[in-house]
Amino acid sequence: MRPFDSGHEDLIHDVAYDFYGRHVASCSSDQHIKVFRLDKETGEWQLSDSWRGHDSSIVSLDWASPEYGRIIASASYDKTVRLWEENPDEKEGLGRRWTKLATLNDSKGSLYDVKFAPPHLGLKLATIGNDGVLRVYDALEPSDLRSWTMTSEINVLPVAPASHLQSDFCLSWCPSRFSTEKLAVCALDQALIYQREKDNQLHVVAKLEGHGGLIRSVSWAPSIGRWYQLVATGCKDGKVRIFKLTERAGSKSNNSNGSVLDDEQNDNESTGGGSNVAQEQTKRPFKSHSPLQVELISEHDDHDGEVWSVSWNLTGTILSSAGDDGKVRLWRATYSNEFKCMSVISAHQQAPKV
Amino acid sequence: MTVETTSDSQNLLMDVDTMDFVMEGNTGDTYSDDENETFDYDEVIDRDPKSGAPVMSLSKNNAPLPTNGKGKLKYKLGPLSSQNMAYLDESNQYQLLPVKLARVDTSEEYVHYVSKLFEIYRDLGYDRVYSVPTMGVINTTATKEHAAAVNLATSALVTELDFFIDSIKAKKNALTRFSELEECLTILKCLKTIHFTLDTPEDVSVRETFITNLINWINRSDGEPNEEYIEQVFEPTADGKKVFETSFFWKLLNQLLLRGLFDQALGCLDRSQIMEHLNSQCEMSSNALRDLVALLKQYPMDSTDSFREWKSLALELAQTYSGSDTSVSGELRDYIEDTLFLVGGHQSKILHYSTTWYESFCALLLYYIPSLELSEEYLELSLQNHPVDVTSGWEQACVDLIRGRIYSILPVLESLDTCSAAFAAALCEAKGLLERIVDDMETDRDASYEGLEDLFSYRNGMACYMLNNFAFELCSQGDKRLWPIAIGLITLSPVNSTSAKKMAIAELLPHYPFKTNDDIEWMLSILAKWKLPQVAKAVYVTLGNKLLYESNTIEAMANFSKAGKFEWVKRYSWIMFEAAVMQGTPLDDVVLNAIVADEGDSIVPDEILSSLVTSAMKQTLSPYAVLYRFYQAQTSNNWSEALTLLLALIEFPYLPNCYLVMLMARFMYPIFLENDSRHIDESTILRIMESLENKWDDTDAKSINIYSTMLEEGIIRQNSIPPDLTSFLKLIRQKLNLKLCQEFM
Repeated sequence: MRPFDSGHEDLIHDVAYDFYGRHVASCSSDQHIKVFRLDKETGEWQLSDSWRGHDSSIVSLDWASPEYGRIIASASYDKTVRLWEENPDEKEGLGRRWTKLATLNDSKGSLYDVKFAPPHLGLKLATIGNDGVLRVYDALEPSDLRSWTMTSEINVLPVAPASHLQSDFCLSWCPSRFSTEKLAVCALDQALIYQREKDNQLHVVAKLEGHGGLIRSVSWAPSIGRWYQLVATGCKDGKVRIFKLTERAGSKSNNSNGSVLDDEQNDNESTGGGSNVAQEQTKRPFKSHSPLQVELISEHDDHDGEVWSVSWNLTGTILSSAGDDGKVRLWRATYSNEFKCMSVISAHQQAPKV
Repeated sequence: MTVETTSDSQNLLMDVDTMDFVMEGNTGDTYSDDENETFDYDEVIDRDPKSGAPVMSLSKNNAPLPTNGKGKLKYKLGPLSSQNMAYLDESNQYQLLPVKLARVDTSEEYVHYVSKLFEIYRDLGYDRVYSVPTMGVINTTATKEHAAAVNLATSALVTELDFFIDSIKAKKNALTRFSELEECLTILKCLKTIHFTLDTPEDVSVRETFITNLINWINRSDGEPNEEYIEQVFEPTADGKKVFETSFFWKLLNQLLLRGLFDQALGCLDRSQIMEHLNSQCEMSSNALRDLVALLKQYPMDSTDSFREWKSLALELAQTYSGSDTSVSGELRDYIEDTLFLVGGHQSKILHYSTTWYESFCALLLYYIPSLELSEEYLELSLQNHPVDVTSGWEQACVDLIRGRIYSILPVLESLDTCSAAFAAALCEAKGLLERIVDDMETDRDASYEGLEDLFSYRNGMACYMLNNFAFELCSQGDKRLWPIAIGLITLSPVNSTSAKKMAIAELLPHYPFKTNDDIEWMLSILAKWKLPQVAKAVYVTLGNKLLYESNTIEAMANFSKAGKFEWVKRYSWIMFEAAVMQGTPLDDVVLNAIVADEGDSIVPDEILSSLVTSAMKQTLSPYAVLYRFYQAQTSNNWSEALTLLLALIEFPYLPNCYLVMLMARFMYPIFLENDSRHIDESTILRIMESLENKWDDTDAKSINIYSTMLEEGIIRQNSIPPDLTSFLKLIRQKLNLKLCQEFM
């Protein structure tokens, strides 16, 4: 496994694998997106194409499921999300292989994260930026990928943070095919779980509490073979946290571990621009039919500094966390359901052996 | 009794070729038949002070951060465990660093090994499950047969691991993997010896198997005594002493005997030439040693009874020698006496000459009383004299195994090799060695806990947990050959809930890295077997999109059709129709044209076509079929047929409005209307007029767009056709009126 020069000329902000892990896309402050292809023979990554995607730093990108073709979404500080489709008839390396399908420009602030929903929910994506608004867009006609409709617009934060203050936003969809539509949305130091309820609106159904600083990264684990969900966060307070979310139909939602449905937060579906967006703010308290029980099952401060990213593997059995200490830690649940660090990958040069 | 020396033992103390020790030359970095073949295994550079976990380097020679430096490091786990990406969100750090997960083995040998172990486990059939008959007719034979089957499977597992280790010995950079697998093998050999041998029913050679396994386990574990040490012992001493007059020689001889290495011990005696020396010096000692050699050659493997007789002879020999006068030096006599007592099963001599707990444990089983019932007693005795070496991972695991603590060794095995660990756990479960601890845990938990039907629930037991974890691991390897094993493991795992298995398969299977039609058939057959039509539909859509990217539109449509995406089928049918109209000829697609051509004309066999074309496709492709026939009529100058077909298209009730404009501009006007001499009958003219009345829409954006595109791209002649739709409609009406007049003239 050899490191390779990405070819970016400024900060790399995000990388994303495609569904099969045979392509990886990266984005940067140089306003470019690059797609690399895994060479099966050599096992090395080859640049497939590179193109200027936005007018400002590109901070997040994601691949759609192959059910919808080969599509990438990119989010930028230029306040737009752009959707790109691969044209296999164009040659690689000429910057023309990916054509722009659509630009979504509803955000009032720089965007921080974009993620496609799992494919069983349709072709759908969510974005969040420093206007503190979660927006969900749907391609209501998947055969026409140029047409996207904003279907939800939710003020996650009551007031957008001051621009001079450090802020961070991220989100992650629940990938389970057998769970109702849910996503974890982090704004500053708040982590909320939204769920689409019977009124077809997204409502806060749980909070992931205990964060002592900006949440840098959130990742919802694939829950294959499990009846509960796991969500991991990486935080500026130096901690990797793993929350267990259990759906309990008909049971009480409040518990001592902090899964409280916040009435104020439940009512924050705000006025939106799209025709399908909820037009009025609901004033009555919302009661979820399938509340979540949240339990903080693991909290680790091994990184001795900010945790910059967390991510789960394909099967939701291994969690990675990368921190300011220049180390990647891989966590795995034991039989007794405790997460233990199974190995560490160091980004440090080895001191010469004496 | 006479001493018989064999030529084999002349220069060879141990048959190292059969012992599979680590060989410097063929496990390190120096040797490989194929220079391109590398094992690419992790190198542990340190232990993490926080967790004790092994630390690997992101890049051996190209790590981005200085020692102890800090940085905005990010990491993304990919869908393949062999491909994950690290990068620094820092200025002047523009590298991407691919990283493989620790202990991911992507070698061909590993795939073979996994397949073999799965076969062993699958072939166990009902014996995969341990059950104690408590009611009805209790069949004792069934219990014995079950034990025999599981013991045989365990033996096969150990053999396969042995083969696997052998196959990777010569690989480059495989030293870490090799040593981990060796450690794993040692633990499994101990497991097999202690728990999977002696209860094999109706096996006449069960004692022999046990002794062989025991000796094999002990000697494979550390490869002692090593060759260098043996050579050192036999080097001439500075003070001119003969080799058998040194304590090193007797320690070596006794070590070989403690370890049951009888041939090697005999070879050692032979090489020392002690017999020749004693023949001339002391008849008593010479006879004693000769008898010892004879006894060692006849160590009873077959039955306990013959062991009793043998032991009685060995004790008698030791006691006789002890009570006799000899004419050798006191030191040499003591050495001979100690060896005789050791073979006679004297505890203190065994413990004295052992250097490790396992040597004395083995010797007590070989020479004291060979009964597993005493194994714990032997173990405690051995440990009192020789504690466990805490730096050696397998020693504590073997101690736990002998004490019957199977649970505690499973995480150790898992840390060495997940495959071996999972199957070993499954066999332990099948043997009834893993008692469930559900009841204890249940008291601490909410009784309504949903984990009941969870694949990873503690209620299913540790073996099930490990098997499913391993199955998941296989799904992340990106190797399609491992997928049937993964799905097989999930299917066979002893989880009561089929819905949990079904859900897991539903989530996993879309990630199957299919390549060929056979792969797709396999994937769909699994989905059909588990009754997962929604997932099958998603697979069809994915396939459809993949084929679309490969410009294989018809097959893509067939897949969309199977997925129930009829709108998509319709859309692509119209896209092809539009493309064919625009280019003025049928599309250059053999399959498409074969579908719409008359039966028998096609170069594609009918049976293939009929399996490919769904009824939805037949319907949606019908406009294209009419257009195809129109082109045929046009080519053969059959203008009345061409007009009839064109009229059929124009009158088609589901024809999108924009395509009326397209057909009129592309064909009707230039071929039939523009040329005043071309005759059109009255009813046809009226039918065209009616279609225009019903469908023509000057304001329709798509109609305007398609018309202007045709003009811009020169598909229709700008000089003969007006630039806007309204004028074009006027022109058509004028021409139709003219044709109508001509009809009455």
